[in-house]
Amino acid sequence: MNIPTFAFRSLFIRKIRTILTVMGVAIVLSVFFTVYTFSTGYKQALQNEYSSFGINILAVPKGCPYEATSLLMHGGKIDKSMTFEQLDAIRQHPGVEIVSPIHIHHAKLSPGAYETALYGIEESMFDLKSEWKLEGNHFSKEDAPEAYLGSQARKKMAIALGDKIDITVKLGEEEKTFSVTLVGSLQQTGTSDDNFIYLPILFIKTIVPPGHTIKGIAIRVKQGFSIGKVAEDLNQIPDVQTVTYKQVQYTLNDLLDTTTQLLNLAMIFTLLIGIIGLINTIFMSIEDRRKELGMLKAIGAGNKDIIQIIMTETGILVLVGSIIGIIMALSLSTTWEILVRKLISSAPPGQLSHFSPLIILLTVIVSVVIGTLASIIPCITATKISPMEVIRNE
Amino acid sequence: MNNDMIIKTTELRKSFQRGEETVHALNGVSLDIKQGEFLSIVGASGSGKTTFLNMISCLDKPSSGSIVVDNIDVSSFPEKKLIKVRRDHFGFIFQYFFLIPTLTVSENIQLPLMFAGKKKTNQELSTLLSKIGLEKRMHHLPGQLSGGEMQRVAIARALINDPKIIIADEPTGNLDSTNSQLIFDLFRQLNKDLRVTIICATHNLDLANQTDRIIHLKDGKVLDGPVVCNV
Repeated sequence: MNIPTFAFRSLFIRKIRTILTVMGVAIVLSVFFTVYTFSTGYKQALQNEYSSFGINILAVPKGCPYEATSLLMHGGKIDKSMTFEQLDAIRQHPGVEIVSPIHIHHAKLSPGAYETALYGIEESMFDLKSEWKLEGNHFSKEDAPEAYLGSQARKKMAIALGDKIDITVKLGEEEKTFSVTLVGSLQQTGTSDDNFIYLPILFIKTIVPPGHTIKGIAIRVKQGFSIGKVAEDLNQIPDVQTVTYKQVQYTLNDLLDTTTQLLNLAMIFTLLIGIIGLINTIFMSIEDRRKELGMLKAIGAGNKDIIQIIMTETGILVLVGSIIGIIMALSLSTTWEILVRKLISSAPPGQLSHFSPLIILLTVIVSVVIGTLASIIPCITATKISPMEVIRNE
Repeated sequence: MNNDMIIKTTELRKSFQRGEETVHALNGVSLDIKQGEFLSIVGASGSGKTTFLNMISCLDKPSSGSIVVDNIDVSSFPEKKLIKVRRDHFGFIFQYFFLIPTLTVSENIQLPLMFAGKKKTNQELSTLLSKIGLEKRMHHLPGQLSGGEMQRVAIARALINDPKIIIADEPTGNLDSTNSQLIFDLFRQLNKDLRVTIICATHNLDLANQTDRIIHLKDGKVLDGPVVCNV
């Protein structure tokens, strides 16, 4: 018999309390693990998406440029529009290499009753997005009633190249339905692009009311030109506002950092609640076991032994709790991911939770710190228990 | 101190505060206890029995007076040294057994060894268990034992470190008369076989009368003469 074995077996004296304590620790650490893996994973996924963007500047109608950028990237409704004159003015700047107008609209697709974002694009988009690989044919004409589908969208609609797709869009208060032929399909990119449908922007021009065709313009700057300087020049065009890729990245990172800090604060509170709960449980356990601890002292246990017993018991509780917490977090990560995607429609594609041995190690370290902090006060109390409490029968 | 003497107390006093009142739990107890003696301490509740046991077994320090245990004056020892004296010289038996319910009989008995950093062979353990008649209950949990058997386990636990003195505070207080007698018979046997000194506080005069000597405490003092009152 040694102290760790003794401490382990003592935990079985009050099984329900032990189970509840372990579950409490597991929940707290599972929250810690989930928040940490999601905040790092989300940032990583966002970084990956922007890195594969291939666009240096995005010109949008005046308003909130960052919101427009996010909507253009992940799908959504943009009320304001840009004109073909503004597009021409941008094209005339000597610093731009590729200029590609974009339309975006919410659409219902049939067959499959699939709802997604409809993009109006030019073929030049393939030059900007190097990860786009087409299966099938390119648009036959700049205004042909034809479409490409992202890989996920095609999988969900389960249709073949050459099939007709009925598209219903809302224009003001009215709904309009039109047909296009599926001519091509994009290979999987691992980005939001996999979920969308793409039509020639000049065909879109024949569908939407005049002046509502262009919602944004993607721009790549020529080698040797400063992105910042070109963006500054383009800002001089009336009612045009530009956002550089770096600005978007910084802004979103800032936003994400703020959110992460708030989450960290919530996490600290959760950990504090966990520690207080654990202190309370260990305290109660010591109060219940005053006579037992007094007996141990009477039969030769020193304060060092008592501290070792309590610390080991707490250590076992938090260690088992952390293992269960990590397993809980890992098994619930897919559910959380689905929930996050439902709540945040603009969430980046790819895995949102980022697991690494380092995070697991960090969780275990946090659990050890929680255990140590939680057992300090109960240990002090336990050392003050007198063996006389056992002898005093009356 | 006489070589035969295992405990000697001189003018032992213990006072403590209870609110504004000073309670004198022990009022100058001078006593010599010989090695191998089996003695009982009797007295009404509040007479000072438990306080006296606490003092001589190094669980508590006296307000004044001296205690010598096995030729060591422990009166002014710090807590750390007292723990060592306690570990090396004393075995304790309590009224409520205090066995750990998740440990087997054998593991419960070996608890003091864990704190003393000692080990016993299986043979030594079996010998001890057979002395107290529990060799077949070695791997049972306390919940599977009767009250008398549990107290036997507690006795074995008190003996595992080969102490010179056994302190038993109301060891039969939780047992019926048959089991109480069996426990006292076992005490007598151990006292004879191992020459261990047994100091037992009890309310039961019938049992106390079976010991070598009865110390009668009243108001923190040792009373002379035969015990006649109902304690």
